[in-house]
Amino acid sequence: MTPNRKHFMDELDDLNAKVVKMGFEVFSSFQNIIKAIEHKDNELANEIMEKDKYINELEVSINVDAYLLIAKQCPVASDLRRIISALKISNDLERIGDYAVNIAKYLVKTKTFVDRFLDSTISLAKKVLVMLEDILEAFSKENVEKAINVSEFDEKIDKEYKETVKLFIQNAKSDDEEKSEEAMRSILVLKQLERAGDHITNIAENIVYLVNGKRVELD
Amino acid sequence: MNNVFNIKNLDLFYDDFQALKNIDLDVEKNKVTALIGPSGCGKSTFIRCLNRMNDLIPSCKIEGNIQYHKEDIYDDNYDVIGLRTDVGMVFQSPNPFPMSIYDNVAYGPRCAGNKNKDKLDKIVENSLKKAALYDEVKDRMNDSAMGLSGGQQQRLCIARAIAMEPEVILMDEPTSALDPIATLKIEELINDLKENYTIVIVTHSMQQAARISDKTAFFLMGELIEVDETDKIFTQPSNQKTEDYITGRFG
Ligand SMILES: Nc1ncnc2c1ncn2[C@@H]1O[C@H](COP(=O)(O)OP(=O)(O)OP(=O)(O)O)[C@@H](O)[C@H]1O
Ligand SMILES: [Mg+2]
Repeated sequence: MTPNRKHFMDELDDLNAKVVKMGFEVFSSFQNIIKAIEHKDNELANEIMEKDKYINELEVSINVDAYLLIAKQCPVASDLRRIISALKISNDLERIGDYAVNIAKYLVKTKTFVDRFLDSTISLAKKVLVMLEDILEAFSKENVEKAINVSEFDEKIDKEYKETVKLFIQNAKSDDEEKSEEAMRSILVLKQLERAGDHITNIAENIVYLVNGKRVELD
Repeated sequence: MNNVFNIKNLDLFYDDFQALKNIDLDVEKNKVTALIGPSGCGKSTFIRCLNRMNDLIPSCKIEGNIQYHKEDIYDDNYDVIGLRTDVGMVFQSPNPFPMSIYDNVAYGPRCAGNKNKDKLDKIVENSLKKAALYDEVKDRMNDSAMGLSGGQQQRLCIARAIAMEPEVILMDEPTSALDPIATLKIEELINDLKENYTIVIVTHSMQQAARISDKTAFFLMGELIEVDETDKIFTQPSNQKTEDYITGRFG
């Protein structure tokens, strides 16, 4: 049996590499957003917003590559799934990047990201960061088991999110207008983190589809 | 399941060379079944078994069982002429007879004893209509068929097969000699025909199999590796060899 379509195989590898690269860029944005929260570092927050343009460009470039491969190579079976997965995963990564940007915007707007909310926000953000790291590894190694584990971890995120929101709401019920506004903003930040977790779960579903060809609902 | 053919443990030899190995396959009624696989894997050999065209090859020996409507077509008493009427065939390169368009289509029915002019006219018209050729040739029915384009000739051959009122039409690479437009016309036609006919088609074009067939069977070196719904084969084949072939990893 002679191997064929080397050129096409190379292009598929390139597409895959772009998705991995995009994943790392989003991961580093998330790493930075945690630092920015911790150190109230507005400069870093601005950097994240700036870098998001590059992440968006990567997504567009992945889309263009994928459409061209579909149009020109008539991919089937695992090749087709790889291209569809690249499209879907890059879309989720782009959204996760947007959540980092949203948080960055809140940081820049709020002069006071208050200490009393700091620990629980950081705690949730770090968990999302671990999920993101694990899902990127699951993707590059096409490890279904790991992908499913990551998606199961999302339940913990949801649980912690709900508990923390409750706590912040208690704080929001304050006569002090400024204080309640702080609490509201902090809840919005939490919401971004929780949504990021959902998109990581979507990525897990796409890894299962890529490897097994089966559409599953993980949540 | 509404099967037209049931094939069980089919082995086929050309002298000592085994060209088909233990094939099990059912052909469903009013479906298009595509046979794919690399050159020399036995697709033509297999499709020729279904109307006993292999009888014409002296070295060819068959073991196992092919049932057409539950009857063993290789039984000594089986009516082969009747079988070839019910199971028509269209070949790779269009092969019209050197006679008029009308006579090409009327030839089979005439041989079958149909001499009534009005009836023949109707059969010719209907067959050409079903083969999506009528409008292009209605004004020149008495012209030689050899003056038609390749794509028209192939549709004429399909009309000729249809004129015999078959149940099954076997097609061995019917578009491999045609340009893309003529190919698309035949593909459209196959799609229309499956309402009334059962079609088994050999094709070298994976995209063609994906576009027009309901079921796809993948052959490799005389073995049937996998047969399944076409949708399944082209998104998630069960066998790695199928995957390697349809994704172009070898072949
Ligand atoms: N009449 C014959 N006598 C001897 N061997 C034959 C004969 N016809 C076919 N074969 C052999 O049987 C095998 C299957 O041939 P077949 O023509 O069925 O392949 P195929 O899948 O239709 O190939 P292709 O895609 O090139 O048309 C080949 O190895 C071929 O050489
Ligand atoms: Mg052949």
